[in-house]
Amino acid sequence: MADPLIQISPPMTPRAKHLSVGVGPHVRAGGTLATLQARWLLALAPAMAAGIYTFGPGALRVLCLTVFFALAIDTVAERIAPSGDRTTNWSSVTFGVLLAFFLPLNAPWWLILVGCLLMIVVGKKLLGGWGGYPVHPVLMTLAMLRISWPERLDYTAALVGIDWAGPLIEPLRYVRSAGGGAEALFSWQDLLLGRQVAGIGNAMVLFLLLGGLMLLVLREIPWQLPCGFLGGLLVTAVVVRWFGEPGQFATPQFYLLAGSTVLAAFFLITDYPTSPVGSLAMLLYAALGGTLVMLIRAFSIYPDGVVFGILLVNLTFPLIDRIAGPVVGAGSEP
Amino acid sequence: MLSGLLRSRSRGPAPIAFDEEIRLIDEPDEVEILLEYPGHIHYLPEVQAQDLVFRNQTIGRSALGNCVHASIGGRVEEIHTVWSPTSHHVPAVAIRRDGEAPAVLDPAKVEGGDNDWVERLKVAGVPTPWTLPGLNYREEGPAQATDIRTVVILGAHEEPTVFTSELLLRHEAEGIADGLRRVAELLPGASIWLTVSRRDESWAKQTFGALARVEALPDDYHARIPRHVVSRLAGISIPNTSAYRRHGVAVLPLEYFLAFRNALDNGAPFVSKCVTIAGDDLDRAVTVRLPIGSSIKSVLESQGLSIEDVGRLIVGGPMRGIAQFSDRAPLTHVDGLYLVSPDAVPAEANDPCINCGRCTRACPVSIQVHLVNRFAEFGMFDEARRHHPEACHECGLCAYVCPAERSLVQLIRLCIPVEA
Repeated sequence: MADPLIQISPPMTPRAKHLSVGVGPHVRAGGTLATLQARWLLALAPAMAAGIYTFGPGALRVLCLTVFFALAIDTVAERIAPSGDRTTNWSSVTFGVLLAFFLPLNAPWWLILVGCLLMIVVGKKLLGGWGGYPVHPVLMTLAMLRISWPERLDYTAALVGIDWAGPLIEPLRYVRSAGGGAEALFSWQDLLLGRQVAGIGNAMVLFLLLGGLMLLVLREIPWQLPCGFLGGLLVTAVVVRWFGEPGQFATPQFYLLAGSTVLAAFFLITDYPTSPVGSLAMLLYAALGGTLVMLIRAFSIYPDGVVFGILLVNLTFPLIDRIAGPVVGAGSEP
Repeated sequence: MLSGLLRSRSRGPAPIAFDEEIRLIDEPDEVEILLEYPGHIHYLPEVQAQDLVFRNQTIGRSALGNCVHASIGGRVEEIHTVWSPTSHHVPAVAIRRDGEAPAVLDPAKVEGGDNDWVERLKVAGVPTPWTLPGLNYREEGPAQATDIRTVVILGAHEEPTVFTSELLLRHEAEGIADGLRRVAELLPGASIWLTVSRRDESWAKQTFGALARVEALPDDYHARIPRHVVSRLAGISIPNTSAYRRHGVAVLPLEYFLAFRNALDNGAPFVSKCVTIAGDDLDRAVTVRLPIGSSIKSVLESQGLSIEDVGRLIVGGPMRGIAQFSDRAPLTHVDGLYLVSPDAVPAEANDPCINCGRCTRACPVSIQVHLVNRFAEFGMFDEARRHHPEACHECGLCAYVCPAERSLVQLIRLCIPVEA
């Protein structure tokens, strides 16, 4: 006799298929953080190639070491302290490339390692990951390296032993010390094609411009930031030339082509986490950045000014980001 | 891969190809009629299990006399609870076709409300439109029709995969013209707007231009967001948390407007509904007419489709629709079914915000989405509320463009205080 306590289960029916659900919208524009970084890297590629072509295999060494260290440190850091800022968003690769662009040809491996540690661990991870940091990690790292080992970041010394046709001094440094007349020493074609004493990629003006325009066309970066930056820099250059000591400053177009102006306009001031969002706010922020860079070039001991200028303007970002138009339908009671 | 990297980003979903006809499908064997308008109106059943019911028979009535009807003839199997497509657990009447029951009540009219048109609407299951639609559709006593200054009839659906309004506009032009006349009689002095797709602009202006102000909307999703369009036409801003009627505006989707016009003539109640079925794997969207309460399964089967081939099943459209976990839910007042192919289910990485600002630039009401979403993420709701999340239309464009694939609409929604 069957035990009355044992319930006979109902005959098995095939289980209905259940789908996993999710919140809307159920279509997306497409593209993830990784594809976004891939586009940035694609935009930086012409400058990378031009850097390697101009400076030879040494540039490739710096580039590879920086990217390798950045990626390796990011992987280890992610393993130790997992966060939403995953290695697979590839932000460390882009940061590595940007850092390498500012390094001299002869940067020793340990300097690159220390730089990548500072950039990834302190600048990126400790300060909140990609999206959370208050200042651009690459620029913060460069500022620290420049203060700690100024002699190791000597671009002129790096070119000793290289077959170099042009003047062996950074254009901006020469103009800063010898006055605006020194500008005549540098042809604009040389400046445009990146044949100037600089890091391995930060002065590849034409090639950076190409990549920057690509990002603009793909709407990865808003036009207000590069335009505001270049506008602010040019206006300030005109003003200091007019009102400053005669002969002390070069022409505005020289400041546009020399040093890392174009890199800053398209790839540094446009860094998403440290730039505001509204149209007016972006224009103001970028123009302020351009002005600061030009003022530092004109009156400080740092001839390029991009690193400190943008670091300073990064600090104003939370304030400027508050500039926004009214919300349509705000404050209405239900 | 390189071409993918160089493709320009889309600003909004693109409309798709669709079939011009409205297909009639076989009546399903079973329907489930919900006894609740989600969360707000409760109908008390007027039938019991095992009762025979006719099509169009009143089976539920609310406190204010709004009615709900059987959409097929048959036997009441049971009165139980079901999981509705809008993710509510609601009471419902299950009706199964039965040979003994006559298919339709003869004549095909509902009784009652002979003198009062408001009463007629209630009896026909088309509650006074001045209260519809919106997030807060509640029964609040008799509506003051005289308060309505603007009537907007939505003839162009915002979802890029839903074409019910567009097709009904073409197929039932006479009924619409008559309805527009009736509304003008009922609401003298109110300005009446009819939104149409830009494709139909010249024809619609000829046909309806004398009866209503015809507003042609482009195909872009962001130009068709109902709250936005209505606010623009009425000349006032109406946030999502606020019912249209409180601003003197009545908004009627085209199909509801047609049912409303039928009800004024004591015609058949609102028991059948058009739904557009679209999907990644379908060549063109097809629109079918089905009895209210048919299960998703029966509708899919009528078109030779099955849940087995679907990655995600959406009731509504891709932008604002609700994902379903099964195909058993009954379809009620929904306009679309959207079938996401298994290999196109969005990843929803929910990565950290990188502050790129695309959300804020995409927002049609200029909410600082990049700030609000992060405040919400870290529980700083007071800070978030300073940026007016309550103005959100929940159009979903912010999340559509987000490269970190964050659930931005839901994060904004989290910041809005819930009405008591």
